[in-house]
Amino acid sequence: MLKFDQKVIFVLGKGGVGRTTISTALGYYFAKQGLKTLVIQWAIRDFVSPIFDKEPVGHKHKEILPNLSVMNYDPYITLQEYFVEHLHMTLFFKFIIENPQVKKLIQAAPGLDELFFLGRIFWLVELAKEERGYEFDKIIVDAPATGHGSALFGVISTISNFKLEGPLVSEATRVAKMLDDHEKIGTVVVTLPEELPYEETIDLVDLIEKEMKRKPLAIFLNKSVYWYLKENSHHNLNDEYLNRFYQFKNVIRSLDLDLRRKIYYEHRTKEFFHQTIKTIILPELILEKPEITPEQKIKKLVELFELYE
Amino acid sequence: MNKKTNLHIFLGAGGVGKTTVSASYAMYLASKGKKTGLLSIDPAKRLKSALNASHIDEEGRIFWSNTNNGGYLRVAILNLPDSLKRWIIDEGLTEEHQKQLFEHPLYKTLAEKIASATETLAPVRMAEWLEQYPETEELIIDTAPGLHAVDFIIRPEKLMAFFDSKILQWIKWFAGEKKWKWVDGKKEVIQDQNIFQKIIRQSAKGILSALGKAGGENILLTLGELILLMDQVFYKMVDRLEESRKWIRDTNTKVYFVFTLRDDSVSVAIELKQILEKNNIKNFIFLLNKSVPDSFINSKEVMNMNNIFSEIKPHSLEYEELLNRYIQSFPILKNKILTKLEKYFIPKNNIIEIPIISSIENYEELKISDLIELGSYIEQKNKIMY
Repeated sequence: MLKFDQKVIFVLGKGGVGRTTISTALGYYFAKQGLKTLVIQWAIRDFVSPIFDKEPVGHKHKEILPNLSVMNYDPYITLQEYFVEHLHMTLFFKFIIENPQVKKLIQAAPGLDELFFLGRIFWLVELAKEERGYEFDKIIVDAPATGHGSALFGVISTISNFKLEGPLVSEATRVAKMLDDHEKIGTVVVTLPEELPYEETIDLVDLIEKEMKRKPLAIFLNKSVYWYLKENSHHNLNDEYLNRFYQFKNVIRSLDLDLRRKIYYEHRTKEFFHQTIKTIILPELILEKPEITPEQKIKKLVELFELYE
Repeated sequence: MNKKTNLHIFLGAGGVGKTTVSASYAMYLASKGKKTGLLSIDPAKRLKSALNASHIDEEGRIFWSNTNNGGYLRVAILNLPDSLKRWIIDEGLTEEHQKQLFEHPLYKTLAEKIASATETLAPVRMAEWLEQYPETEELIIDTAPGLHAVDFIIRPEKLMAFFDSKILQWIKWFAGEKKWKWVDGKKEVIQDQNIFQKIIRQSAKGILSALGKAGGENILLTLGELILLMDQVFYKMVDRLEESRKWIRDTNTKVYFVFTLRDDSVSVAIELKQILEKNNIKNFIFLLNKSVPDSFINSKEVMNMNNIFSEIKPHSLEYEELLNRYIQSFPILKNKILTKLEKYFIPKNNIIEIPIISSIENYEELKISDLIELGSYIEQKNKIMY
C-alpha cells in the first residue's frame, strides 16, 4: 500500500504530465481510506470535479464525494479573507486593498501571490480547526503548472531578503516554519517517460532539494509502457513482423521507435534517481482500454496505489 | 508598427512538438527566400544541436542563409532575465549604476519572477524584434506550453501590474524621487512639481503609508528604489507589450494550435481556441502532430489485427505484443479525438495532419533538411486547406 505520512503533499510537474490526474488519484485514494481529504488547485478553473461528472467548484471547498473535498484557489478572495477575517482589518481592506491601483501593486510585488497561496494552506493546516471547527487529515496540492509552480518554495527566503516588518513577516515566518516541517509537508514529482519531461524532472528535483532542503518523497512515472513488457524481452522487430505491414513499414518503424523511446526514457529516469528517490511506475492505461474515461483512470490508479509494495 | 512582418504564433500543450514544428516552418520559409525570424523557448537537446544552438543567444543571430535567394533564418532563444539585463544596459546606465541594480535583492527576485513568467513577458521580446530587425518578413513565435501563453491577450493587467505608470509614479514619489532624466549617461534633476501633482502625491502617500502597515514600509521603499533604477526600461516594456497586443490582432497574423493524439493536448487546443475567439482573434490553423494516418488505420493489415483489449498483467507481454497493442490503440484514440474536435466546430478537413513518419520527433539526429521537409509539408497542406 502506498503510504505518505505527511499531511500536506505538493504534487509538482510540468503541464501535460498528468499532474492533475495524480493529484486527484491521491485525493481519492486517501478519501477511500476514510481520511478527510482536500485537493487544492490554483488553475484557470477546477479540473478535478468534472472528472467525477460534478460541477466545477470555486475558491470555497466542496465535498464532491464522501471524504473528498475540492477547491480552486483564488488569490483575490484569499487576500480578502486574510485582511478581513484574519487580521480583522475590514476598513483597511475596503479602502486600501480594493483600490484598483493597490491591487496591481500587490500582484506586482514579487512573491506576494505565492506567499498568500502558502498562507492559505498554512491556515488550513494549523488554524481552520480553531477558527472554523473543521480540519482535513490530508491536503493534496496540485501545484500550478508553469512559472510559480516551482517558484512556490523560494518565496520565503525572498520575503526575508526584503527586511520587512509587520504582519507579512510573521506570515512568512510561520509559513516557512510549516514548510520546514518534514513530518507535515512533502512533495512528489510527476513525470513521463519522454525526453523533455525527463530533462525537466531532473531540474525540478534539483530545485526542490535546494529550496526545501530535502528530496521529494517520490517520483510518479506516469504512462509507462515498459510496465507491461516481459523482463528480458528483446526490443527489436523482426523482418517477419515488418513484412506483415509491407506498405506501411515506415509507419510501423515510427511507432516502434516511439515505443522504444518511451522504454529508454523510463530506464533513464529510474537509473537517474536510483536509490535516491522512490520511483512509482504507473502504466499507460490506454494500452489496456483505449476508451478509458478519466474517472475509470483514477479508480484504476487508486487500485494500483492499494497494491503498491 | 511594421506591417510588413507577418507573425506566426504556435500554441499548444507541453510535449506536443511545438518547438520542432515551429522551427521547421521557420526553416522552410527561410529556404524559400524569406527573411525569417524564430523566437524559440527552451528547445530540447536534439533540436538545439540541429539549430546549432550553442551559438544562439537571447539577442538573435543569423544561423542559416541562402545567398541565391536572400533568405535567412535568424534565431533567438527566449531568456527574459538576460533580455532584461540587456535592456538595462541599452539604457546607457553607468557601470556602477548597473552593478548596484543587478545586486539589488529585489532585482534578483524580480529577475527570478520574470524568468518564471515567460508566458507573460514573451510578447515584450516579440515586439522588440521589430525594432532590432525591421527587415524581418516572417516572425515565428514558439510559446510557453499550456493556457498561460495567451495571458498577455486576455489578462494584460497581470503584466501591467509590473509597469502601470500611475502606480510607478506613486511609488517613486513615496520613495522621495525628484524628477530626472538621463543626459549623456548622467542623471539630471528637473524641478517641475505643480500644485496638481502635489495633491496626487499627498493621496498616494496616504494609501501607500496605509499599505506599509501591512507589509512594513520597507517593502515599498525597496520596491520604490528598484523602480527608480529601472524606470525607463519599464516604460519601454509597456509600449512593447501594447505593440504586441495590437500585432496579434492584425489580419495577417496566424495562430497555429499544435496537438497530438493525446487527450489533454486536444483539450488545451480547444480551450485556447475559445479564449482567442472571445478576443476576436480568428486566423487559426490546427496541426495534429505525430498523427497515425487514416490509410494505415483503415488498412486490412490493421483491421485484421485481433483487437481485444483486456487487463494486462505487469511484465507479461513480448515486445511485439506490446507494439500490437500500441498500434491498435490509435484508431480508437483518433476517432475519439476527432469526434471531440468536431463538437467544438473544428471539422476534420480543417486539421493539418502531420503523419508520424513525417513528424521528426523521433529522429536520433536532426538535420536542417529534415526541418525544411516538415515545414514544406505544413505549407503545402496549409495552401490546400486555407
